[in-house]
Amino acid sequence: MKSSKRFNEELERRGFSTSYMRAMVRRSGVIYGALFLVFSIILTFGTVSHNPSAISASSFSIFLYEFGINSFGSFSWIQGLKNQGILESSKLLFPNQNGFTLPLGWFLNTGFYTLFLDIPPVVLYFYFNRNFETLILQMIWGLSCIFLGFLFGSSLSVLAGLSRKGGNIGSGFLNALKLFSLTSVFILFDLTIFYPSYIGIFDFALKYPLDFIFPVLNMKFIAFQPHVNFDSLVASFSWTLFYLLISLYASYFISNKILDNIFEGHGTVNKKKKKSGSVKYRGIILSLISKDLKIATRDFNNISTFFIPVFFSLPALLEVFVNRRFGSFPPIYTYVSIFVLTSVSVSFYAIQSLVMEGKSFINMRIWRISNRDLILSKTLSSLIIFLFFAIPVAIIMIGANMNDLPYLILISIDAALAFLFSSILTIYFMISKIPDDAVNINIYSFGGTLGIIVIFLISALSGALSPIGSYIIGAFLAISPIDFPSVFLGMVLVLSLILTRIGFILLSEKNN
Amino acid sequence: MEGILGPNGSGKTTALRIMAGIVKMDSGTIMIDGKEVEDYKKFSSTSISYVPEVPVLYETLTGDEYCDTYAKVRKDSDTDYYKRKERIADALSISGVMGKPIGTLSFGTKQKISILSALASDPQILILDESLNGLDPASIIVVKEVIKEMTSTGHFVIFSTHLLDIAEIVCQRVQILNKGKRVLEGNMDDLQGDGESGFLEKLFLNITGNGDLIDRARRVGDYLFRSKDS
Repeated sequence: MKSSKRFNEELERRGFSTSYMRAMVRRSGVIYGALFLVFSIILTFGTVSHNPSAISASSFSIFLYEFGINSFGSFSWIQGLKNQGILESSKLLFPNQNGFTLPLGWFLNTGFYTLFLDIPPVVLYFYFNRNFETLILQMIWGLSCIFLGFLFGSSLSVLAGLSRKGGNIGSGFLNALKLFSLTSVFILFDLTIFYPSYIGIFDFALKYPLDFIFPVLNMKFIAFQPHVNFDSLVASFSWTLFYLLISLYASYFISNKILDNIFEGHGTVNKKKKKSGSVKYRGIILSLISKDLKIATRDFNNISTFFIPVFFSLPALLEVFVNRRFGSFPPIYTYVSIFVLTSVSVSFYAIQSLVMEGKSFINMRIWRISNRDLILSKTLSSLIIFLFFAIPVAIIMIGANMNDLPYLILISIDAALAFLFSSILTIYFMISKIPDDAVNINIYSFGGTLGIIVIFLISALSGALSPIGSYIIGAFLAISPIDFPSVFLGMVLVLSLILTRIGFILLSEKNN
Repeated sequence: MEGILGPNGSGKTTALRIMAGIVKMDSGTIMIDGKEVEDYKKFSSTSISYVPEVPVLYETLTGDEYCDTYAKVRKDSDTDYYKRKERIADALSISGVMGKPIGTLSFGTKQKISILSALASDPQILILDESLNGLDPASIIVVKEVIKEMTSTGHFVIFSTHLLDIAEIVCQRVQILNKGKRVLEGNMDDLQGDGESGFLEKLFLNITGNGDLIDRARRVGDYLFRSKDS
């Protein structure tokens, strides 16, 4: 909100009114709360409509997500306070405040709204079981998860501050973690919907002393079960309140450490050893790739967009993984799955790699980057990100299908080459749509909606050229891809190499 | 040091971007020392640094990363880049924030990083497109001194601004543009005449058809405030 032009102008117009600021914080909190509610309703109702008995497992996933999102949120919040020096002006006041000022401030302005995540599973559980006490227990668990998230995120922030005083945070790593936790939640829900028999893996029922160390994992046995007698009810309430108090007390305890970290970090001179001497010229392409990878991994919106194609293939992947047959699948099936992932990825990655430049595209003009270098650097940085996602997917699929190692290598090279050629062609088309003096890029820069459709068509058709070509040649020679997969994949490799070479020739001609 | 002056919409930015090789020109030629450069795109990419009016940098990169990326794509064999970058960063008081993500910094600090990246690459020609807007007075003085030093060591600086008093102090030559055309050019010494301070402002107003602007502004002021008093 701080960097929003509209907000700053409005704030200035109102004479920096604190009530306006507070109202804006509340308004954005309510919007987030509503979004959390919708997100939770979609996931929970989706699960329960397929399998009503999976309510406690799906609730567990929601609570786990709540813990994860609050860990990330509190970490970002503390880093924001630190990097922007928001508390600098009130530095002198803090020794007189008690340890709850910071965690409570965070909870009221951000953490509280994640409680909306808990409402759908809690209400549904009540609907199925009619236990009033679990309603209260589960909401207390929701609160505990929020404060445990704060505890985890703020501890991480203090540790990051200790290890990198004055430096920037490893946001790429954090975004990867955030994405991983979000994907894990979706995988959990996919499992609860389609493969309920796998839900058993969440029945932890930890014994002493593990239930003290990992309280969240034991939640299901405390809050999601009917209490048969008064003793078990008292025990459940005692444990629940115990965990809440522990999380609150620990938040209180860590508060001073966080403040030390915030004030120490701000405005200090970067102690990183200064370099001297000449610049190591790695070449334009390598420098641009390095820049693109940093931009892609440090912004959660960018990294999540790059992840979308994998997301699409998640159900197919899970099916291979969960319903694994004991016997070898024809490698061509694996190739087709990887090929689909490649085709979808090319268009998404081509668009995102350029759109993420946004207004900063003016730098490409200021730095006088030629169209050839731009196309090449965007293609190669997209390829690196694609391989980062696609190689584990390929290994899992090939492993699950019991294919041999040579197929793993052949299929991976075929996919990488298809991606390379298809990307060059797609980005070439996109760059041709951008006027030479354009200093800004957005999704409409490539010819509007029609342009986007053409981009998807170009990437799909260009990616399909070598497999279609190989299939036609195979048909002439009476070689079936299923019976002779290595011959087919070899032909795809040769054709892809030829096409990639043509792509590079095309680029060298566009050296302006 | 050459100053390009002109009212809003007079074509200063377009002219500077053409000179920087960012925008293609529809017609005409660019000449340096009276000679047309054969491959201007190549020349501009290694010899000219351009700083825009508004700093649009990569928000997730740190200041150091941004400057280093620019230095690396320039491809020239520079032996003192890091030393120069540190000295200019210290002078602009931004050494402490060079390791922070650009998105967390203020407008003025972003503008300083933008200027720093251009200066640290030691360009033969530096083009500043109203780039001093948004800088604090101390930083303006630092940039002014660095520019003076640059021009005294054989570098050429082209500078567009609305800050006529600064142009009067730092520029050796000025050009005034109006409605896309050059309406005046000359050495500062010739234009200054009797050495009167503030001459550039009067000259600028006269040449752009606003010679009576000060009188008109006074009349508006009188109408708004004195009429209330009486």
